[in-house]
Amino acid sequence: MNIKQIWMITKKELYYEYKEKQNVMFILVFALLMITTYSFSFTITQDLLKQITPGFIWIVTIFTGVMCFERSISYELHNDCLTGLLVAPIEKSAIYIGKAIANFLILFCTNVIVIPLLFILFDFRYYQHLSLFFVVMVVGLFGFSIVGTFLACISNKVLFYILLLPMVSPLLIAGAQSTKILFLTENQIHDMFSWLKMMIAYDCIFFTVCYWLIDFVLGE
Amino acid sequence: MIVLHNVQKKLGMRPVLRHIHMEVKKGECLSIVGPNGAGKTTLLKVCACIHQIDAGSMYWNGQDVYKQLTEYKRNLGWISHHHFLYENFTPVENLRFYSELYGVKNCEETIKRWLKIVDLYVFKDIPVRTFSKGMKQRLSLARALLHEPSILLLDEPFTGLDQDGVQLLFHLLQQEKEKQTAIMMVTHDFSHIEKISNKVIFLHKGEIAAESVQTEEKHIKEMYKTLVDER
Repeated sequence: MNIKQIWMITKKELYYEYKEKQNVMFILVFALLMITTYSFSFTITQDLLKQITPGFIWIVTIFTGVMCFERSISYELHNDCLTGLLVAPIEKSAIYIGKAIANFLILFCTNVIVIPLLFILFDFRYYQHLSLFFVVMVVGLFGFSIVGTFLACISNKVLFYILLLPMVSPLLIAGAQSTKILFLTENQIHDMFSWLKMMIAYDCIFFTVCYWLIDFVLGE
Repeated sequence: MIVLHNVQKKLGMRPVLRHIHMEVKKGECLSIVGPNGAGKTTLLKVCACIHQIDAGSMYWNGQDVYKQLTEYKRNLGWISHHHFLYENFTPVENLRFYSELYGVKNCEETIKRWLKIVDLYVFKDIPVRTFSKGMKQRLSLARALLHEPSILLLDEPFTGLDQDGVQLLFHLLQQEKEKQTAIMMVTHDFSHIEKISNKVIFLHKGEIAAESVQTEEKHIKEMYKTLVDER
């Protein structure tokens, strides 16, 4: 694993995103529209809010993630830039990891904006275990990014959509469960750690598998 | 020098390259011609190590390519009818990215020099998406050559170039030959072959059907017609 090569790809991805702007804007607007629509559609009590917010956070994450992963490869296919990367003296795994890290950072930044807004618009007051909630989001987004980026690298949109949901389901279930426990049952935090461990195991397993398989996926 | 020995490649279950034996010496330009689907681009992709070979071996300077892959790729330049440029980046940003990938020394100076060579220096801060196809192709020449490769792979490089662009490409290729760069070129335009090539191979259904050191357009056309009609 070559850190310098990974950094070159991540830097390029983030710079492209900075130049493009419209993608991040589109993701943000989409997430905000969803939040706004829901917040004005229902009259929600604090108790009900605690039950639906974990699911809502992960739904927004899934939709923004899908757009983010799909875009990260589709612009490489335009003008065949992906071939340009494959011809260059860098490892295929560096291309994959660089893109996965960039996608993780983009999703993380989007969530940093979207989640506080969701709390404000829903008038949802949550102050306990914010650091644990942060850890759950980071672990969840990392796993989601490594699997989503890997599937996007297959360069087949149909396969991407078919495989994404079954592959990330365990992670999303664990993420939603952890968040629900944090929001609903503050005194049963130890239950949350079982789900968190499962998410960490998922991240480690899928990162290893995707890392080994990427040489067969890219280019062939 | 690149040597391919009994190279075979399948894409899925379909054999695309079969029993390929060929060599390209330093300072030599080899043209590859053949009908659509003959395996020309796949052959270039195999030479660029984008596709792994299924059987056979590939040598560069007498050593197995796969044992010196990074160094081999560092010496590789690829020019295609696709220009591999990021539309929202400016020429400078595109070339800077590729310079970093190839570890080019004196990056900014090299970029400036190449932008002047391809006559795009005045457009250096304008996004590539606003360029014409010809301008993108010229920038693509700079992208492929700025790291001074010793092997050049060209996949229909004349597509989209205007007359000035074609002349520029011929001039650059001639310079590369003088610098002892090994060149492999896939093209459908036989008139370009005699101006630059030393040798031609005819690829048909994944096999080398014929090889010739005569590169005159008329001769190539006749050979091509005979081979395609025969098979």
